[in-house]
Amino acid sequence: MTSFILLLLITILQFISGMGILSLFRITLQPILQIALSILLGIAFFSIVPFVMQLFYVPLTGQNVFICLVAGALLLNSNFKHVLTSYSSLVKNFKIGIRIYEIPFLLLIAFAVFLSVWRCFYLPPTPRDLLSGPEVIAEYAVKEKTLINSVFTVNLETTNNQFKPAYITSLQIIYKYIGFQFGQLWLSTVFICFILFLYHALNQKIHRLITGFLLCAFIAIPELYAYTIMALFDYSNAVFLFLAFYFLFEFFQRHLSGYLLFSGFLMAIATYIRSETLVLACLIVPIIIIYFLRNKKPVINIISGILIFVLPAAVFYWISVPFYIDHYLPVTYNVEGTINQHIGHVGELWDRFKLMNTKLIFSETGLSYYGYFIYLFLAAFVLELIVKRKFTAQGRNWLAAVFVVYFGLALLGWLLPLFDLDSTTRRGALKLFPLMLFFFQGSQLMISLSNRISRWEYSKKLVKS
Amino acid sequence: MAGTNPKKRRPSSAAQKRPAPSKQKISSGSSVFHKQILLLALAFVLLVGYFSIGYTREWFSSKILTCWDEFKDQKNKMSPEERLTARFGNNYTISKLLADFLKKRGQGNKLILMPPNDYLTQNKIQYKVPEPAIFYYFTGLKTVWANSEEAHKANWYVSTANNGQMLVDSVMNQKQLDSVINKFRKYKISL
Repeated sequence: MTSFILLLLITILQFISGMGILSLFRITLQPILQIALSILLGIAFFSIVPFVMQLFYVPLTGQNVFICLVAGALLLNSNFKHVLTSYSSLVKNFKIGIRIYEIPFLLLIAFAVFLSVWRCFYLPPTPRDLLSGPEVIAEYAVKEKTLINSVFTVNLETTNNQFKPAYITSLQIIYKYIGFQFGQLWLSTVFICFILFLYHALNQKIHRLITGFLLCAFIAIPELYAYTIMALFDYSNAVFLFLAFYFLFEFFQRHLSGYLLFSGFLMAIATYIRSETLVLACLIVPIIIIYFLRNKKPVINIISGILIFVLPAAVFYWISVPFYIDHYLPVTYNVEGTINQHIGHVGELWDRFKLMNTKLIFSETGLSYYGYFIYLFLAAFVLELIVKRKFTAQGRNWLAAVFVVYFGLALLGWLLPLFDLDSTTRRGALKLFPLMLFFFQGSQLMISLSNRISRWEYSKKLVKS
Repeated sequence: MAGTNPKKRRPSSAAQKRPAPSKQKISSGSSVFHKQILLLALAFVLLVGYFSIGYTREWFSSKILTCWDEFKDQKNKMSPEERLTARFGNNYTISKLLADFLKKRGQGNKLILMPPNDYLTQNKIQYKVPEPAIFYYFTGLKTVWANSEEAHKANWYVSTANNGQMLVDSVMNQKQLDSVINKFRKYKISL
């Protein structure tokens, strides 16, 4: 019971930290979006604290970790005036309204969420990539109070998972300290907050009936749901990559630099979770350049825009991978050695792209991994193309995002031989689905259908006199 | 792609909500309620329809309903050992048995040479040997596989006896260890 009270307190502390981060970037959203996003940011912040403590050789005792978490949360909220305004606006605007026709969708989502949370709590970490790296390091970090512990004296020839960034290790340490032997419940928090965020963000433009259906279809993507139960890097990576895109596109609409900065920060978090996301960050650069060119901005703005977006990710990558491995870990790892040594063979990139499509995405296996969601997206895309013959700015943005990740997965598979098709690319494809989901939000067809339903729902026929 | 021109600035996404229904046309509460009941029926149709087809139906029955059935059983088995056994089965229980046996043989530094999976399968032993990092996670003991350069540092080894049972023994001398390593190296050694 104590553990569950501590879990609640931890979640509140995550929310407070996240609110602080949002206030630093001057981001204000609708209340539920703000709450969900704050907790997600809080989790990201929590995942950094034990790692930074290790960088300064602070012993990872329970007491030290929690003092640092609280101190960090207070520091993030040091701009009291702005933070207080955020809280008062949150309380003033907070309201929950559920329509009767949302209930079937919400019940199904709640049922799926409950089972996911239960299994996260009940079962120990499962994936080999977690057990042989972050989990075993976290387990012994709690015993030995350091990330550089006796695990590194074990024969580690069969794995390279000890070199993965500290995102999961740090979170596992915190959740083990509050009494959950198998940790993992941070993943449930990520899952719930992400679903809340998606539901309310989609509701801003499309009718709740459509949102409910789409979100149920989204939750029923077998592979995506599986990774809400099995803690690994990919689900969190997909969440923060999606958020980076979401706020980048908000920047495109609002033209406020705070949104670009925030998007760069989210991209840095996504890179901290999975280091190869840095490649995707670079692939997004052309989209940013097009935005600046269309708005006739000078070259200096273009350069600074690119740097704001890519630099934080590059710094997070450098600290969490090469710097940490070279200067802290007692074993060596040749990061450059993981890159394709035959980079001139560009034909292999095409082969990889073909293989990804035929063996993974558009195959019987693909259907068992991803269900029908890709086909729902393709149907919406084709209908939009045939009926409307053009896309909205938002629709185009999300299409570009899907393309970047889709092509990026093939590129990563070609660039990094360890990025295999059957497991890494399969899980990497999870990043596509939130982006596909938000294409629906930018679809003119969906918006006009939503408007029709809303008008019908609330209006009556005018009676001729 | 990309955003809109600032000169033609559009309202933010929050402000780009669906148009609010015109006040003159707003129907009475009961009419809205009736329409919402129709939408509720449509919601059911959409859900039942989507979750009745091929892979979605399979996912729902094989994952969601199975997880629900397991939940009813799991909630009565809450000890960490039961949960670990439920997840890892023999891989965990046999590793723990080996560790318990070895811990009873003294606390000194032990490095255990583990047999390849193919070797165990051939000897009809259902145990998938966890890689050293995972064995350490399960038991706190260090192991090594026969294809490692560190294999010759082992001071204990696991093998099989003639009766199809597992054998755990200390290394008597280097010659004996080399012979065990060579025996194991004849098999494919992989995860």
